[in-house]
Amino acid sequence: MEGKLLLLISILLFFLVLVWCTIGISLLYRKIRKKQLDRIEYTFANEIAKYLYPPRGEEYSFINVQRALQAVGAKPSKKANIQYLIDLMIRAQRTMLGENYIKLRLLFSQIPPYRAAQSKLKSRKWYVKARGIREIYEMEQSQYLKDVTRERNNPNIYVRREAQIAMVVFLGWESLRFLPYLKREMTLWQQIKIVEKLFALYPDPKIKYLKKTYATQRPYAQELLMRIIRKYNLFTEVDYIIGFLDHESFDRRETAIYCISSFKLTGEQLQEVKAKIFNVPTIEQQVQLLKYIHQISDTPDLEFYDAILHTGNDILELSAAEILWTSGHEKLVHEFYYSQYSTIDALKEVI
Amino acid sequence: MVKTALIIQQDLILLQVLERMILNHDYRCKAIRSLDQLDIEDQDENFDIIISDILFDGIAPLDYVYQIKEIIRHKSLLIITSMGQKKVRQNILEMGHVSGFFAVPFNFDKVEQMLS
Repeated sequence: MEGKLLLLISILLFFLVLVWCTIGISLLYRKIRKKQLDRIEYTFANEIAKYLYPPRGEEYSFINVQRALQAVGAKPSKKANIQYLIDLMIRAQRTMLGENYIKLRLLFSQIPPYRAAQSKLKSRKWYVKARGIREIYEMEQSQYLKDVTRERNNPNIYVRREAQIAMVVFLGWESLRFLPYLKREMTLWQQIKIVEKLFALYPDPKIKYLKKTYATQRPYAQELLMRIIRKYNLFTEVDYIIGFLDHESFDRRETAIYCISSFKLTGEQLQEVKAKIFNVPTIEQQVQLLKYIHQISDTPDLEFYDAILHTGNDILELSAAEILWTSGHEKLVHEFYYSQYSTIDALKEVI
Repeated sequence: MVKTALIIQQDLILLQVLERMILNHDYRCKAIRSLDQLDIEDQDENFDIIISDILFDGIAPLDYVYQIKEIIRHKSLLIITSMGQKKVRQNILEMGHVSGFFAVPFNFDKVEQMLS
């Protein structure tokens, strides 16, 4: 019994020592690795600084940068170091504009990693591929545009998302030649990302590309176009949004109501919206539209609100009555509610 | 007399590039990553320009700017930060005695114009 216990204790002690050794080795490795990465970061920052602002009387070319980086271990044979270097490059490019940005772009096209992003594109792992595409557009390597465009319908959502963003970055408004005709649906999040990216990089609208896509029947594409019209405040294109206010799909109507709410309409457009409100099948959306109409109208259209009061729906009636009441037409509201009671006696009974 | 500059930036890349840019304008420059790296002698110095970030651990951006104004003597203060929200910018510029506010990404040429 004693022997067995001793054996058990020695096995446990052995495991304990093994765990301690693993922790020790891991700590040591991390310490060395961190030092190595810090050295790469310091060298990269120092070399970039010298390349952008060379000391007086000295010439500093990309070969100096390349040699210094290779000396600290950023070589194509060491993939982890190269990946760290790519992250540093992207970080550096994100901080600068103007002449320095152009200089950096030129430098990054001349130093390693030459084809790291392209080899990632060929990877079978989705996360490697998506990361490769992101690096390509972050570092503006437009020579890979063709390879990236091929991935726009990739079965993996993250790969195709990055590919679609890359198309917007490289092609701008021209990307609308492809984006409305994708094979797979686009999430709301992705639509917003595309609109924001387009607006940030290409703030001047090119309506001819927008108009060419109006024929698309893809649900996500119609929503995307409405969001673009809203973001760029294209009041000449509001009719496209109005067309979806009484669409059979709930989501399309929801997007149209959301997008139109940032525009002020012409008299004709307002009449069209007023006519469409009766065809909207959801009460909540009708109320939203009603509030929008009230918000953009200078004076309440009494005939229109009277028609709303007689739709037979309590919620709509109440909304119209509230608008009329707050606009100083209390008398109309009184008349409408009193008219529901045939005789004075019936009214007195309710009161 | 040689002009003096102090750069405080956590981002090493930005810190090094700014330091080299300032050195090229014949300044004597001290570049540090946080206020902890300041020496006691630095408090006697009257810096011609301080270029600083506002995002540091344990201190709110506005408090940080107040502290800089209190403890380091200087002629002008320039903020370069990745925290470029309009409200922050407005609050800091409203404090007064801040010569400029640049949000990342920014054009270095404009900072150089301020130096010369």
